[in-house]
Amino acid sequence: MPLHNHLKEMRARLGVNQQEMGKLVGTSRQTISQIERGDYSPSVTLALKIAKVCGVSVENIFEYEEDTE
Amino acid sequence: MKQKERKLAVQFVIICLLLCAIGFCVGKGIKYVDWDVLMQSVPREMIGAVLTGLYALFTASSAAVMAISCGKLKRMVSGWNGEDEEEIQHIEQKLNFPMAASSVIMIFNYFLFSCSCYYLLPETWIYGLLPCVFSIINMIVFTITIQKTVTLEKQLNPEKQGSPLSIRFRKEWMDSCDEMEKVLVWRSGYAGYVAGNSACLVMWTLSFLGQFIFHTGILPAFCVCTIWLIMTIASMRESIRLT
Repeated sequence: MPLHNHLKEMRARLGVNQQEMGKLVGTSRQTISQIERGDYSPSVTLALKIAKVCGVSVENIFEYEEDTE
Repeated sequence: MKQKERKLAVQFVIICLLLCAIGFCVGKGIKYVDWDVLMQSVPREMIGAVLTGLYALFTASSAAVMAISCGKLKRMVSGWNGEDEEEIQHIEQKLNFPMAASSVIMIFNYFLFSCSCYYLLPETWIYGLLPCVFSIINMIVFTITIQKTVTLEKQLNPEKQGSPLSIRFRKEWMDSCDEMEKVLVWRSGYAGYVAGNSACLVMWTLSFLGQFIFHTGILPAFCVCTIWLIMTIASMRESIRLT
């Protein structure tokens, strides 16, 4: 999936762990962990919620990169 | 595009011809196998004793493995400081083992129960009780394992809802899952459906051959086709509903 993210850095800036971040955006700790590892691309709704909690725009957290292959 | 389709069609025809050839050879070979004569050479009591011994061994080892696994996981969960993200990842991966293993144990339990009863029950009622005892032990082990695993999972993820003892457990658990977890469940379900379809085809072939080699009648084929039909209808119905 060519969707890179800076969620870990954003979370560190907020000073919360995955469990707390999950609670803030209304999702589970596993989902936050999977997104950070790049194993799961969140829905638009969840991406917007994460951006809102971090106080930045979605593009600042999620980056879409064209597959060069 | 047309060339590619032609190539695929040729591949398909070759596979069909190969399967027909295998079917022809198996069909020809069947008449040389007399399973009844083969089975009569082994005393029924011996088969029953071996199966019951296996069942006892299986029951004891599955109970031991589940107890050790749950105890180890309980210590790991209690030892988690609530911060280490690598550790919780590791614990959650380990939690999958008792969940998967307990389901596999139950399936083997049903199979061994059927086999043991078939060979033991008509002989002596006291020995016939043994499969019932082993089956009850396995069911208790299964229930305790699921209960303990769900409790540990809920300890790690407090948002999870539902008790395995409740008849609404599946719904309550799914309702407490978020979008990513639901995607995982659907993906796993699809993988299970694909594997089930292939398994049904293989099992139907075996049950068809079994009619002639083991004289099993049409019941095995009927059972396999019923499962196959239910899987297909359930999947199609949900697909139509969602689209």
